[in-house]
Amino acid sequence: MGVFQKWFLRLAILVLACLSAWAVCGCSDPFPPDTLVDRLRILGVRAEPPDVDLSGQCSMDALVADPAGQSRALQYTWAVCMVQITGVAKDIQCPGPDSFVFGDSASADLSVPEFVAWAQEKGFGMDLGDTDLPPDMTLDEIPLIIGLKISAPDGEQVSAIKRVRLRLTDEAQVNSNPELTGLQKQGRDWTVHLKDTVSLVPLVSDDSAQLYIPEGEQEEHAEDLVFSWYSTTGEFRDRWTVKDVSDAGEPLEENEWILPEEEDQLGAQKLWVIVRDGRWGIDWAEFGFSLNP
Amino acid sequence: MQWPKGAEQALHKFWTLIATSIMFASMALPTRAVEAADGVISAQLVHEETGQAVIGAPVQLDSREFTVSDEQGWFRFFNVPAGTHRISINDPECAAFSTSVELKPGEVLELHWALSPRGKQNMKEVVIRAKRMEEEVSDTVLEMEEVKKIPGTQGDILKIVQSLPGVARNLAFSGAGGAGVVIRGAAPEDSKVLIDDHPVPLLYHFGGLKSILNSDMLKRIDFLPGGFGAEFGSATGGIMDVHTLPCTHRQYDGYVELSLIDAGFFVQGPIGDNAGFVGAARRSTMDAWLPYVLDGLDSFELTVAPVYYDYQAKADWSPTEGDHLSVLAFGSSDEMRWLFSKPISADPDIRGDFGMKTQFHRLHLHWTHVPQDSSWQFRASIVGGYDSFNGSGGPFLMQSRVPNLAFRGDVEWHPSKIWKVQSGAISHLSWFDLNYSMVRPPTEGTVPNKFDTMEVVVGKEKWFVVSGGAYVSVSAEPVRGMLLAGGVRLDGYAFGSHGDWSVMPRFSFKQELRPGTVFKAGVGLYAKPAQVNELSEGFGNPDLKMERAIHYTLGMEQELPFHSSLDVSFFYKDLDSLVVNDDDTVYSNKGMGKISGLEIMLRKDLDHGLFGWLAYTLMRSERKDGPDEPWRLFSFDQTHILTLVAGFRLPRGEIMPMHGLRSGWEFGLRFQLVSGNPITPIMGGVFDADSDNYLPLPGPINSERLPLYHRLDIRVDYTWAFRRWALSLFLDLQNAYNHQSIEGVDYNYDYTERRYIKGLPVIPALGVRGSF
Repeated sequence: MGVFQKWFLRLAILVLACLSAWAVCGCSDPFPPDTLVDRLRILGVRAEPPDVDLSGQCSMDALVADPAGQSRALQYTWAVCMVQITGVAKDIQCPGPDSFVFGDSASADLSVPEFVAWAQEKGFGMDLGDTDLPPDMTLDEIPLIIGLKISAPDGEQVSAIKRVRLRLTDEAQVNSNPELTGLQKQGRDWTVHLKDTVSLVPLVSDDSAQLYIPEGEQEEHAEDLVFSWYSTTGEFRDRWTVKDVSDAGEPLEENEWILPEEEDQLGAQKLWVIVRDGRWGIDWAEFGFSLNP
Repeated sequence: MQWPKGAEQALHKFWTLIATSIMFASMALPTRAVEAADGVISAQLVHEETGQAVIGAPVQLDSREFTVSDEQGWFRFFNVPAGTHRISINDPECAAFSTSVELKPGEVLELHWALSPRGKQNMKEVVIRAKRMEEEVSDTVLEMEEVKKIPGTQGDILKIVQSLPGVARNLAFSGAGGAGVVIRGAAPEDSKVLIDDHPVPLLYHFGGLKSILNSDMLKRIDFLPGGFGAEFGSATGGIMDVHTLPCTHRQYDGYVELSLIDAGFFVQGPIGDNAGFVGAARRSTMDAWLPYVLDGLDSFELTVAPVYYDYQAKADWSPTEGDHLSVLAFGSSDEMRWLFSKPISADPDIRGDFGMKTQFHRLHLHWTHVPQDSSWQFRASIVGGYDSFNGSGGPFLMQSRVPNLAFRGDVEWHPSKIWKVQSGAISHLSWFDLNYSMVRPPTEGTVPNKFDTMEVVVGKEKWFVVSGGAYVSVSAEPVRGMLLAGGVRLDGYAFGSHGDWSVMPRFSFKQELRPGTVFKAGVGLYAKPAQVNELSEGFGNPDLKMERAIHYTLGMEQELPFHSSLDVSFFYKDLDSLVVNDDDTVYSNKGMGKISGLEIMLRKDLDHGLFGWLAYTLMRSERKDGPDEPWRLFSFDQTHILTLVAGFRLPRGEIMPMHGLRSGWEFGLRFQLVSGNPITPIMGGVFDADSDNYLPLPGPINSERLPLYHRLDIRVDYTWAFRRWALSLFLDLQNAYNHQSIEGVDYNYDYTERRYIKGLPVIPALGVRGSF
């Protein structure tokens, strides 16, 4: 059993250790919550459509928050990277030396034929019509790793990766991005107050959670929609909320926004909700609030 | 016991053939003649309280010759050369006794010794030995009487191994699993734990909470950190050979105990004149109170609080003077389940119902046959077992069931006073039934990504694995004070069309330079198969070969005044064929390693109420993940390990005959100073827009070190001894000066900030115990 056993044992021991630490000193997380956006960050990257075929093209854009930047000009680099993302962390350079650069603005179009021609010229083994798979196995799709690097004039840099599914056969299932249609807030308007706890529910279109057949299974499943929450002030009860259609339990997409006590936070604030379908489909929305005493 | 006629004849022919071959070989070598100046040491042993003879007490002469006292309490050693000799007596019902005697040329020495009774709680002789036999390249004995009051172990004898030289400190939250002991810079899975000669998959509940054996079930632990003999196989690190208590106690007794951690009982007694039994069981009690303590947690629910149990039952029977039969049943179970009702902040995949249950059970049948002439003895055992593991959580599932069967036979033959021959074989049959949907766990030294970046491997596998080994070893003392030992071992395994085997020669040498000073050296080859997951067809690479290590040891033992001794050992280990990640074959044998170090142990035996040891290890353990990769530090490399253990007794009053205790104070302390473990720094993160998480960007592997670790544990006992019972009050203070050790590093969400994870603060434990 060896390492299998150790994997679960480690998790169990970690839980025991956390419980001990909690029982002994009631320690809390010393870092600011990652939902608090207080500097340049990439919050989401979208491909439209989220998967393409060998002759296709997709448009890339990103949700970038720069609350302290005062609308400064940012420099973008979009590239397809010849790297593998595995369970072992590596020093990924993406965009890096072996990258197909295809854009330098806030959005960019990726042409798959142009990328394939580049890869073949560079000798990256992109002979996609004749893979070396065993005869009883077919490869319906492969992921393309898209890298985005954003640089600010003062040298600050952030980077992100995003996968785009490249369909190689007609057997590959087609996905589409979910659609976030709004945000439901209790109360009359978009004004919030210090020390408030605000209940929020994201709204999505009916067809956002598509039906698909997971790998190795026969039956169709509905996508699980996972919502991410970010804001320029306060914190959220949950880092993620889930609209898990397959679960019999109550829907969990509702979240609570816990606003701060400090008066220096008063004024205009932003909140972002991002929805992901677990199959590399994504959508987002930005909301403005006024934080009052 | 009667063998089938054919089997007995075949066995007899086989061993006669082996014995004859070795006898012819031995005739070609010089033998030592009995010199006229040799003398005799004899002594009679009586109980201090009753004056009755101590019958059957094990007696050792210079750790080389062994006998037992007869029905009148007498023992005798013949043909003993003139000089100073050490006599050690370890009778289960008497306090351990050791002394030096001076023998003149040709003298017949007759002595009389009265032995103090051992306390009722101390009647089990538990001995931890740093090396097992004289053929091993050092020899240190720690007795139960000494070690049971070492603070910080909660009376758990198996935890004391972690205070011996060469043993690295386990990080509090490492969950090393398996043997759970890092010996001389080897990975935990490179070392092996044996219980009565057969391996067990776990030594500690929940990776270190408590050992799986009640300490009162133990007779002794042979701790072999390296350079061990050919009788041990399938390990490239060290060996912990645990021996259970023989059922020789001639009266019924036992106890029940209850604490906030667990509850259990222990019982032993005779069955007729030549048989006995001993049994123990424990179950955790944490599940009774922990859910109430955790009631306030919002997103976390402990659906099954940590529950463990273990049991041991043993019966011994001696149907004839030369035959001994033993049945041992034991097992262990750990279970825990919890619910993350919402995704935790570290990873969106960590949500839902998680849990694990691991258990194993063993049934041993042992037969020892010692014929009347005592020139040879034979041991055979059959062990049936069942291991199971169930783990599930989020998208992950791991189920394994492994019924197993093992056979072992060992023969030991003493053709003359000079020669000793050992041979044996062991065979394991295992039926693996695996069902998994799992990510590949990272190998040593690598930094794991978030779960959702890992490939989930789904599969079901059934294997039948045959593994085993055979060995022959010969030791000789061609001249007085010189000991030569050599052996060879063959280990292998096979499943389906896959398998591997290895032939491993091993040698050791000891020379007494002058009385009390011994030089020692050893070299040997060791090999072990890869881990099960690494050999799995769906999960790993079934074509992996055995990992190998060559051990070199060089050292010196020096006896010192006041029952003290100094043991200094240099060691070097050359590792190859280590399993590492491989982009093409998942895993390959391209890894290499080298470990070098120095161990020093200054020991004071229990004498005049004082005992202790000072152990220091200087070590460097490095790995290389492929021929073209650079050397790097091993994850458990600890440059300096300093351990001070000391105990002092201030008894007053008479020894009470019912329980062998006397009133008075006892003090114990343990201090450890250890280099911090290497860690791989994370230099930053890149946002993974599909998982809404950051991927760590690691720096050079193990290129940083955690800060120095140091800790002091103190224990104070006071005992009021009355005629029929005794009451003891104790205070066990762990981490007495409240230095919170650094156990790891934690990062913020995008790896741009970090902080140290601290260990537990000072923990006082006040207790009371009644002995009757």
